[in-house]
Amino acid sequence: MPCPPSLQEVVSVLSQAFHGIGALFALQPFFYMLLGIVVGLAFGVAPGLGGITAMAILVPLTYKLDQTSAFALLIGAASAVAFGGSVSAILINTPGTNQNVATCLDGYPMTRRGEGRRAIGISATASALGGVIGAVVLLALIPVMHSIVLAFAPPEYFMLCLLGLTAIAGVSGKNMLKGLVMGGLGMLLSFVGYDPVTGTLRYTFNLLYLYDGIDIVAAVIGLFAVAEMISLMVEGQTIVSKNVVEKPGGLLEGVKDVFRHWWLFVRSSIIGTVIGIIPGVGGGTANVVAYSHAVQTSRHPERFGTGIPEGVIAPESANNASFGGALVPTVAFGIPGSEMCVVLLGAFMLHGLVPGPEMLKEHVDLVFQMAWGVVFANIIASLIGVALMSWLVKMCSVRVSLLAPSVIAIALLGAYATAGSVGDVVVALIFGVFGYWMKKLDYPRAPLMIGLVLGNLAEVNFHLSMQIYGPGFLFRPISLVILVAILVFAFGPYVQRMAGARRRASA
Amino acid sequence: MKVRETAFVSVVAVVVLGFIIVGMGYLPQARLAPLVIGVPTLALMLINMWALGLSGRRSVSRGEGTAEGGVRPGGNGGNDAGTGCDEGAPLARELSIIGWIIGFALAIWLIGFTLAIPLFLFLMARVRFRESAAASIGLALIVGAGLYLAFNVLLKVPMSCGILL
Repeated sequence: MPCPPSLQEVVSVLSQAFHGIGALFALQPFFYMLLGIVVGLAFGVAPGLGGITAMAILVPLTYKLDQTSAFALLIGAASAVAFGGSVSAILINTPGTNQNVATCLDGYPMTRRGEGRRAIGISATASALGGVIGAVVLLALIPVMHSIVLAFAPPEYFMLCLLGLTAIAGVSGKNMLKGLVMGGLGMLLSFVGYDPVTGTLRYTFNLLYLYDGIDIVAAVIGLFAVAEMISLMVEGQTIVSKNVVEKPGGLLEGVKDVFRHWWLFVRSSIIGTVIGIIPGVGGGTANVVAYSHAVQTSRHPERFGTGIPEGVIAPESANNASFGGALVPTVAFGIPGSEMCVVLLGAFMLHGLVPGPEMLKEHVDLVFQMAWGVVFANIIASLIGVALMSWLVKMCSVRVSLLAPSVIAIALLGAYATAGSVGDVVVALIFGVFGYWMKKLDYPRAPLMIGLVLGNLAEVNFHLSMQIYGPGFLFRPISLVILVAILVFAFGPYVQRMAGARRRASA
Repeated sequence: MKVRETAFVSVVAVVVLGFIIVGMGYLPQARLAPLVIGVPTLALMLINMWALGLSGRRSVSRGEGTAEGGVRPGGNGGNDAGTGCDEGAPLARELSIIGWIIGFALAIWLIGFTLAIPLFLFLMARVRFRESAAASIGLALIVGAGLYLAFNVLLKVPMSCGILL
């Protein structure tokens, strides 16, 4: 049983925490943090690049910098990427990173309705505040993190995946049957590539490209961006029709939306932070799970996907909060909490830092600087994004003959840039055509995406759970809690509906 | 529209069936998940096809289905603002646009992004959408150069050069 810290220790920690702010706002580290934010925003807005590419490019540049400036640069970039990605998700239906996949679902319909500014206002506020929550949790949880991380094993990951998959029913709306079919197809597609248990190659047809499975970012770029542009060109419309007037005061309205739905914001930020803490699962999963949670707990789940603020608040607060969470196992145990943290671990090594108890003891000032960096980088990134918003929103009124070919070029280049493979361009193209027909024939695209993201993850953790614990894995305490949540989310709406029908009948 | 949806559903059903049949040949652990997911998905797909057939028969008996060829009665060729996806868009227009994008992908494979992007932008604007020559050239140069600078120069993402160059 650890002893409670003495007053002297508390004072020492607080003084180091405040010292961290001072060190971060010195001229050189602050300049590098700003530089990192600008690079992060650029990599976020450009589809297909994402945070890991930004970090990988920046790490060698930090070699000659002092530790404070080096990590200010990296943390600035990592924190800004998710908000940058939301801008392209909202305005052109192209998720800038895999952390913004769910943002497209309601952000883009808002833009088409003339509420692009409002959607970006929501994203900026939710991102900034979500990032702050993640960082605060990072600061607060470090002393107790060890036991929490060890409590999550494959059974709990599997149950978390199932929890995410139950969202398929929610996002399918009135097209439940079509949604389930597309969710199933998405899961089947996620099985392409090496079977993680037996090492068997599945559904690759001897194509080297398919050995690593279907690239999710390329698939999502096709399913949403390319499909949307085909649709616009067929219709001959712009993203925002000339008949639709951008509503005034949208930005402020967006800020207010987050406070109106403060409870959803808090829940989504916590979901994001917790998922970030789980090793290897980052913002890419957090935004989908938070969106699913928003659908499942909403009184009007059928309105999701039509462009409602809740559909932007949930994923954008979760993905930014997840980075703060992901830093916890990275710093405390040297276990990367997300893809970006893998690169961050490399930077630790480059600067002679060993994550774990030693880092928390010898370099705790740097850990605090990183946590403050997350706080301020999220806020500054959102402010910069808002400042550039007017330009970005105007882009949506450009004629389709000029806009759509440009977006298709950006989308296919973005798909290629993910892994430098022309195969990803083909995947984006196939999913683009398929996504267009899905849209046209009223088949929901979100279930396909959820199945594709979570299918393989669920399979791996199911097999691991069976091998380690046998069928009894379902009865582990945390698994049971998640199982109850799954049952509540899956059947709760029906029970509510039936109860409502009975009440109306008796009245 | 029902013909198109039937075709779409049939393609998806064949894909799902393919996943099941191919999956049967794998080791028991490797085929477990594909079969557990594939069989119910196929069953749901068949129910969906049956429902589709049923609704098709109903609409025929009510005298609907005039939009079969893709032309919506009273439609204006898909230029209605804010109506969402135009379900009556002529198939030829859809195929033409998809063909342009496939052509772009082929050009990327053959001559790489650096040349394919400006070429695609110019031809699409000038030939497909009949924009002025100045606007088409401007679009090709500005977007092409912007993407080259952003991806190749600033972000250091080497662009594919194509198999011919």
